Amino acid sequence: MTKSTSPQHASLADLVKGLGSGQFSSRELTDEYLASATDASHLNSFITLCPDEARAAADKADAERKRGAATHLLHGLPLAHKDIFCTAGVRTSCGSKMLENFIAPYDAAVVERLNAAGTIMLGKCNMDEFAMGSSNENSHFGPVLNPWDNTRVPGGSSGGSAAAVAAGLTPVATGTDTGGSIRQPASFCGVTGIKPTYGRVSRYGMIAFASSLDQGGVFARSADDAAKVLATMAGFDERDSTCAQQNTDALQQAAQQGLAVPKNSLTIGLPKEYFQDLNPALTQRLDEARSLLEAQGHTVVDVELPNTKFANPTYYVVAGAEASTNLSRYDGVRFGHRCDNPKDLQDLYTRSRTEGFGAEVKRRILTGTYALSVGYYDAYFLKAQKLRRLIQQDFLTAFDGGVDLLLAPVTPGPAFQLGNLTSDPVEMYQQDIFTVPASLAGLPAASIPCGFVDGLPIGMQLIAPHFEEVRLLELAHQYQTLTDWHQQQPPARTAGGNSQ
Amino acid sequence: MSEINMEKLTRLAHLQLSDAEQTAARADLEAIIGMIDTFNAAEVGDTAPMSHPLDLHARLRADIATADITRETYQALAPSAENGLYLVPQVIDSE
Repeated sequence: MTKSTSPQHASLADLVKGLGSGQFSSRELTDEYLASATDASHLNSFITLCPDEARAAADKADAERKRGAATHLLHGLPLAHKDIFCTAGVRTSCGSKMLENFIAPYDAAVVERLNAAGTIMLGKCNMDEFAMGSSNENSHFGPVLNPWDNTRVPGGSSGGSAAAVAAGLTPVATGTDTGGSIRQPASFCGVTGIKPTYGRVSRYGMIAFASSLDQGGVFARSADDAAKVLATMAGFDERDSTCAQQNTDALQQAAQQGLAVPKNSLTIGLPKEYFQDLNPALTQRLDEARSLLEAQGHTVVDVELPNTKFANPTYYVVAGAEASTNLSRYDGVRFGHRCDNPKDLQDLYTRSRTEGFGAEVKRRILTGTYALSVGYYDAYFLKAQKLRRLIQQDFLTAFDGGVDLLLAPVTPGPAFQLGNLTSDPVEMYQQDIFTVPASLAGLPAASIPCGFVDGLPIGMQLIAPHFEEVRLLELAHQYQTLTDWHQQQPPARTAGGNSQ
Repeated sequence: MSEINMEKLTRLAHLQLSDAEQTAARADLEAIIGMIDTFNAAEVGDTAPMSHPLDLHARLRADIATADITRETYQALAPSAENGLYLVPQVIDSE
């Protein structure tokens, strides 16, 4: 591993400075990232690269800068979007054969806001089909390789976004997190990833998986970079009926002025249920992080979240049920894949869906259908909804008891080998045990690089009360001023295709 | 866990599985439902079910027709459309 020094791995603040001073143009920056993405095509982190659109947007940004119209902080900065966000005129596949030819007629709110800020879309990142997966092996467009070790997964479902940021193919990327799909790949790829509070970012134009859990967020090289992008994405949008009417002043201030470190010492809770039987090397990395934060004057206390053990079963009922409902719209009639020569309407629906969906999506639909079917609704869906409240109450009790933030593992271990868990869905689902509780509770949570285990990056998870993203990011920023784990970059690809 | 009726499930989900796929899917589902059943150890009592993490109710907009995106634009995405209609196999006998 090496510490980042190249412009390709520069911070957003440095890129903003470079654009402002004329050190480089948006076009030059865009060309550099496009070339890197092409060189690293073996990672398969992009489903669609947009060189023509990106260069045209960069030229426009440069012209605007010339005439003094570059008013937004992110103006002229390249980025990539997870291929779950609708982009007018550019294919949005959601990693699925079902949508392999789908070109949305409008931009998602996230895309719209970042476009309005003058950012340049380099392309659309690979992902698990319909965001269902923890390894990015469920993409119709093939798996993404982890830039740190090409024999390993990058995590999922936003694996393409995480790998692209880690490999320096884009300075930042958007992602979505339903049960850990930003935090887990951020941990596996050694980048900073934040899932904001549910409702903080509009879901308009973000293809739905589980509507009460889905939330857009950011991958970046640091907490400070993430804050700059999140501030632009966040905010009320009347087109998403669950988007929160919450002001974003603190986020905007953090973006404009750069993140500060926490003004006061914080009380950081360690949920004991997350540390039972944890990988010893990972426990050591988290202990080191905890000691460093204590040395800054923060207080660390043990807390209990007793319903944590029920989070995974609860999540797989809620997410499955919502997925089976949301994905019923893919029927071969209005858009998406249609089978050849259907003999009747039932055949059209059934064969279009059977041909268009991959194995994991079918598995989730069947699980959700089971949980919602007559005779099982109370035993599964209703029970899961009740447990979801108890899981949230555990968190709220900890926060009401004086805990400002929680520190926990993101994953049970570092990135695993490609193909290792594909034959055992339950084992694969265990990858999510530390990320789904915050998702069920709708809390903001982030993965912050905190060291290496077996030569692979690993993250620590910070979880904050609802809408306290700035508190979370400030603590992460303080940690990142004391460490350089977030600045490490994977070695270049070797002749054998493995970066290790 | 009671026996999983794969035929009923696939019919409800509008999915078609071969015999071999159905056998594999049943085994996977049994394992998944087995994992889910571990939550039966939890006492939930009369806890109010939670459908939204912020306990908000979905807002409704005013019931006013809008046409930001035209029908033609949407129908251009359809696998088959003609004269403003989505085309599907015939569902009503012509006789």
